[in-house]
Amino acid sequence: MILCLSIGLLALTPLAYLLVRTIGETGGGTKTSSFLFSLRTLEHAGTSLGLAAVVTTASTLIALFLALCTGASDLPFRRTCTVLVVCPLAIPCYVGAAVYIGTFSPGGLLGGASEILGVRYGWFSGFWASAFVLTLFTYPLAYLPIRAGLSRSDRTLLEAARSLGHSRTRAWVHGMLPQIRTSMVAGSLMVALYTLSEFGAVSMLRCNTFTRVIYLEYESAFDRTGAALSSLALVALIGLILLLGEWMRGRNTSGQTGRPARPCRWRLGRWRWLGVPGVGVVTLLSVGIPLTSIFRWWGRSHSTDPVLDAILPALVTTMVLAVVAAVVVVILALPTSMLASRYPSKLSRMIERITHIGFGLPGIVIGLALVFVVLRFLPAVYQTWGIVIAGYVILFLAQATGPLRAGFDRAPRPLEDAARTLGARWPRRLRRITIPLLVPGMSSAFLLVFISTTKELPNTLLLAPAGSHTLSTRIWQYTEEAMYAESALPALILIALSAMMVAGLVWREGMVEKTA
Amino acid sequence: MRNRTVMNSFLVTTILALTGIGFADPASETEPTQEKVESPAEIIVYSGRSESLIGPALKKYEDATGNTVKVKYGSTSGLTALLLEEGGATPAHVFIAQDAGALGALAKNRRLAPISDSVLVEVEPRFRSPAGHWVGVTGRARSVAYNTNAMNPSDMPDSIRDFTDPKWKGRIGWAPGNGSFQAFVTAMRMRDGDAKTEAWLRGIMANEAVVYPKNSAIVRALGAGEVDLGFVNHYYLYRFLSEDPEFPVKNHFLPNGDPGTLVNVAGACMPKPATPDAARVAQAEELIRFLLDEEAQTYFATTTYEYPLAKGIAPAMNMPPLSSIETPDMDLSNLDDLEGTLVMLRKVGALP
Repeated sequence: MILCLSIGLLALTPLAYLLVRTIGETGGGTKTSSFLFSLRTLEHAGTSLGLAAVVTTASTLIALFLALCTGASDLPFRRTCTVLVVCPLAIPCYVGAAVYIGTFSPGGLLGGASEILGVRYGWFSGFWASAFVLTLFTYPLAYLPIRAGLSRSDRTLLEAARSLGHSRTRAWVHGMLPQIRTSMVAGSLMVALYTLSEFGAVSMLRCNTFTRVIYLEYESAFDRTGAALSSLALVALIGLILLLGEWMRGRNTSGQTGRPARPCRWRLGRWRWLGVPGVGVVTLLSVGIPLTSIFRWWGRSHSTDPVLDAILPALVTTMVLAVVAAVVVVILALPTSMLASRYPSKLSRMIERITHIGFGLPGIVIGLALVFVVLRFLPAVYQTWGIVIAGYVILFLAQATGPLRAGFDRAPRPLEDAARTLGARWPRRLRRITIPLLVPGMSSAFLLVFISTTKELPNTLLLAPAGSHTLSTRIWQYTEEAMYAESALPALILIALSAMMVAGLVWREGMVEKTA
Repeated sequence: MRNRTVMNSFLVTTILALTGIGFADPASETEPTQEKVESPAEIIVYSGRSESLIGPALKKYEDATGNTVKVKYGSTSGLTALLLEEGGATPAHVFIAQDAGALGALAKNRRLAPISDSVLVEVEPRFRSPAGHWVGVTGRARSVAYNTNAMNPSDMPDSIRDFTDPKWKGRIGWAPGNGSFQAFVTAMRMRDGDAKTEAWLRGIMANEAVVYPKNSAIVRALGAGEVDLGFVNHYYLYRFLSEDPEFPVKNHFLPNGDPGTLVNVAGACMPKPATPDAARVAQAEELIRFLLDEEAQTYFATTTYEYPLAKGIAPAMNMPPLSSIETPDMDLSNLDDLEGTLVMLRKVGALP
């Protein structure tokens, strides 16, 4: 309990910092009132919420479709398809945005299309372009939990509904949907929060969300009070979305039966080949086009040697950092998710909500908050990797909580109690029951945090010790100078690294499915 | 039960401590270096300039002196925010910034230590802080770049103020979110007043200027023929020219001290530690002096195509000499009044 509270406190650091920055400054009061009631603020709030709504809806629908195709049907090449549809997670949104801007401009892959249509260059920008790009690269955040939910679901209810004479659709809506609702909402929540905090793509595509405004405020005015105010408003939006998520999740209807579930598997019959183009289109847009463009950039680079020298150490740093961060985040997320799953209370819900704030806040806010706190209370840690990892913990705790919580839901207390009555002592219970049931959740939490860490930029840039580099800071550096050819290699390595993790996980799950 | 929670929290404290201390070394040892006085010294630099531009110059410094330089790269604005947040606890000996506005903001917040006159005299007074808080290292001039297939230099108006004429509709590229552009608007406000500047911005917007995220994107777009002319910094063009000598874009420098020809600087300063430290200042000044030496200045001139600011060094690529560019007469330190510029850019709708 104390442990959970202290983790909650860590996650609250950014909020405390923002309050100090707003209240502590002179003239904070007048600024606050003029800020809150300005039309500009409302506009940005509207854009942020609108973008989150569109991206979340589209991502959830795509994710649901793909999860059904790859997880609950007899689609051909299911395993390959699963790897392919998770892959976009490995592509940072800012790379995705750069790729699409390049694709539609003259000389790009689809530059000809712009010319034929006679539209003005630079048309690919603004709200809808951002929604398009963000959807393509964030839907896996929803896909993974839905897919996991499907594999835990039980077709008994579905069969019962069918035997009572309900149509296929009706049976599905009443017998199946409630079973995966929790994981669907959890996934959508992650997409929504990510959209709120995303900076790279929206700034390239010029969509004025709160996060872009916060960066612009830091960028041009060195105005920390204004930026803190905007960030606080963003926290309010995050709260709103979290409440909405809770309302949609409703009461927990997971209905644990304790016996092995029989996941549903549809026979698609002659429709089975229709799922393939569906998966194909999504994969083409979210993996095919980006990879082709990056390879084209790579083809234009002249020298490789100095670039390689710069990339190898960055690769090592990235991998070590990502593994350590993922392990630490998963360990720290264990107690909070156990609390949320086994002892649901107002307090545990509150702690869970607090851990979500970090995922919705821009990285620069988290970074500055940590600088503020660490320099005051723990100056020895400053300029070490420890503070970078603390930043990742605040940012990605929520990502680990989701899958872990689902894991604890699968290993409920009654199961352990039953083992206890059979005379199993706690090490044996842990080894034979809790850990095996937790492993899938732990490994997907590890995977998510690993990939997010390798992609993360603003927090890394601000907090990493002087003289160090990661792959993403390298990519940033090259794209900043419009050296796209040089940025291609680190981008490809970054994508390959994450893709390997994805493939490993899917392959492992496939093995589990087979042996089960 | 209680015992277990106590043990748990002990465990986590240990883990936190381990991550804090144990992982201090995958790439480097980064203890603050205030106490090290003996040479070879370790100098910590925050750089808003990218490694590809400044890294080789710092390497030359390491080779020449035997000192080690540890650099934290980032955006000028991000690092400025970081320096303000760090205050006197900053480990940075030297901060290299992309524009005078950021340096001015740090000076105004009293975060900078004064630089010795012996270093300052290397640079003309118009390219350094009057109070000696920062010194320009390289200069970048604002210019109007144009596609040579789309127009001739004779089509150019006499002043940037004339681009509000409807005949330029749909032909202009600009980057209102870019720091250099905002510095130019600040300069225009100081010269022409707020009312005229605001009217000018509205005029450019009425001409449906195409918005780009930054200067390099404008120059690329000019080469591709997306727009006919763009408000940019002079040096991006030369990078494109060095890759493709046929690149169809040229710079035009507006005459008569036009705000459209403002020369801004990338400069260096010394963040002030909480307790004065003479040895640290000496090391920092040594590095800044090196950046103003002939070797480093020539390097900047030939690789970044900026204007070397130390006296007596010529620019590269047959660029017009700095003395021939008629910059508006003003104190660059005052370009930190970005707040007013931002309010204006937002008011006219050029920024969110």
